[in-house]
Amino acid sequence: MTNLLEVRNLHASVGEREILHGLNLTIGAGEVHAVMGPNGSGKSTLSHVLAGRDDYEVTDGTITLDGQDLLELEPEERAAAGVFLALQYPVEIPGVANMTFLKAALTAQRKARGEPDLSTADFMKRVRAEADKLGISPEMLKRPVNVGFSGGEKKRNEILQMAVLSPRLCVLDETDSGLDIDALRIVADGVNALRSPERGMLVITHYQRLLDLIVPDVVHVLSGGKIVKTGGPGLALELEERGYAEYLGAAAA
Amino acid sequence: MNAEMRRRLTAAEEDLASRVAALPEGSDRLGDQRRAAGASVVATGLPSRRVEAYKYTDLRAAFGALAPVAPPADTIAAAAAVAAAWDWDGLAARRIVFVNGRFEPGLSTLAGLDGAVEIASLAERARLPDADLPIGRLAAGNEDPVLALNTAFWQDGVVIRVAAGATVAEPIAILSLVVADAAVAVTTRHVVEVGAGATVRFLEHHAGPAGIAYQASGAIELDIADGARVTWARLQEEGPAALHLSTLVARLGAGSALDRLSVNFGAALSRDQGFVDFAGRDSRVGFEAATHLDGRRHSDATLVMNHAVPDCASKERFRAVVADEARSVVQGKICVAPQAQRTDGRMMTQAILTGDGAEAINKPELEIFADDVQCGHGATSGRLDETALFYMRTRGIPKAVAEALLLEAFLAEAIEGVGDEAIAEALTARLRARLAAIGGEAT
Repeated sequence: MTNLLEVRNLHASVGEREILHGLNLTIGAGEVHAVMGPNGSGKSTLSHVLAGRDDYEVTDGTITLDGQDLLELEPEERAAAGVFLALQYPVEIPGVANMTFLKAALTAQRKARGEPDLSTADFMKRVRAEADKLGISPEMLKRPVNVGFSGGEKKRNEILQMAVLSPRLCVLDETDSGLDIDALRIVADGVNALRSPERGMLVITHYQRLLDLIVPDVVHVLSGGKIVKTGGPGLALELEERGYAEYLGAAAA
Repeated sequence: MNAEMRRRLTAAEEDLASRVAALPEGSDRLGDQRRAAGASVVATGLPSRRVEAYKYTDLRAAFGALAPVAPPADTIAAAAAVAAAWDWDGLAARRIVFVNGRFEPGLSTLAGLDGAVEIASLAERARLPDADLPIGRLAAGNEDPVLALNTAFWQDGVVIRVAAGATVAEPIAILSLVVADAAVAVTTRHVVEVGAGATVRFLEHHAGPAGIAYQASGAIELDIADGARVTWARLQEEGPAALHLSTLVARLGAGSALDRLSVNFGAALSRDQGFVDFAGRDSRVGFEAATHLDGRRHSDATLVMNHAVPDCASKERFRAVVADEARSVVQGKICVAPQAQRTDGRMMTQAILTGDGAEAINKPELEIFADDVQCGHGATSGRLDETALFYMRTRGIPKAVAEALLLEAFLAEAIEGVGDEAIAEALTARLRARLAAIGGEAT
């Protein structure tokens, strides 16, 4: 199995404060990894650094996707290379219709990869088919991106974007936050449908319940800005039972 | 008086004085009107920043000289300019054309115009003996110097009358073009009377050559009778060196509505001013403005909304994207007379500043003398939303495209506010093309 994502000795800071202190993580194609950890452990920092947010400064280490150096790339170039970040708090964009947004994104990514543009008819077909699976109405597709959407609708919309853009690596940042169990199930079904031998997933979450629905191959514990333990799906259950207490000191040790 | 006497005349003011003195003698009403209007500006001088209403748009400083009145354009050049002009994506099939301030019946497309619409050239009417032109009926008592200059020097214009009860299906376009290779002055004046219960849409478009510092002035008196509904969209695309002055004086009868949209892309300096009077109850006015400024352009939107009667509503939204070192000025005044109870007046000014030297100036004024009213104003100005930009980029949308999409969305909301889907679609497409052209220049 080839390594899709490799993160080596990653150090990242916000302002003067270092949040990730030498993080290592390898995800193979076809694998689903979960990163769990207490609040403030660096989960969101990891996801934003992967996507290229410039509020975070990478001071040391490397990130490669398919051997390509991601740190050299702008956020839009990372997206074209196959990185997708589903945000914990999807952003509202007044005045930009969901469809327009999706079309702009797909067109730009295909152009960046040297692929021909999809015809409008093919594009519509693809979006409608995916939207249908996620229970997203045609009316929601016409509305401005995430404006006036409920929490569940916003998360489903993230999964719709993911399905249409068909990335190599899906990073889900606390996708379960703010969702009731029914919404969670729809989102998880959407994610599971995207599992494939070519695609890797990084599911970042605080709670076990999402991992009952999206069953990971590997579970990592992130604490104090480092991966402090790695195990199988059983590790998530252990954490649910015992909490993070035993790992809180581990990073410092 | 001493201050007046000490005031030194600028070159433009000297030109102005001699041009007013050269206005033809005669005892007709029109001549009197011209001379009186001209004399009033000679007396006060061109409005400078010391005049409150022109505090941010100093025309005394802006007018280096008064350009000579534009000569008639060469027929071939005029026809070429008209052919090249944007047709509002097919909406402007019926078009009243002005080139260099003169009505061009041969270049206008009036055939097939709704029979309920009557159009006549002002200059032609003025030549008739005992011409009784409706000019100044709405503007009487308005002492604004830009309007007065227009009254003194208008070259031509149209009187448009829409019959009572008519619903005019196709919009009526008024195209004002300048064809020149040196600085010229162009002055038009229109009078539009919409009969009771009529419904009509107007498209107003201004364009001219790049690189020529021409001076274009237009004024419109719009009289909306009881129960009539008017949609008025204007697109100002003057050449980037031009000076553009526009005045709308509107009066609304009872139960009527005016939706007015002003889209401003052109001119080095522009001022679009509106004076709106509610003369009958239960009427509604919507004013939308979408302005995109780059370079060192200066754009001024000034509005006086006069609620003289009860139960009327006015809503204004001024949106501007200001790049580079450009400057956007919005002055909005809502006046509510003591008897104008249950007035609903709302004004919002929003600017996105994309340039380090960009400026947005906002001067709202509320003058409320009635006690049972709802009036308010608000203003925001700031940068593009970084969070939204990052979000779009994580989806693969390049920064420049994401910025253009966000700016388009911001201005398009004001454009859509005009409430006419076809017009909004055409103007949004025009906006998109402009943003793309500017983005292309930048990269």
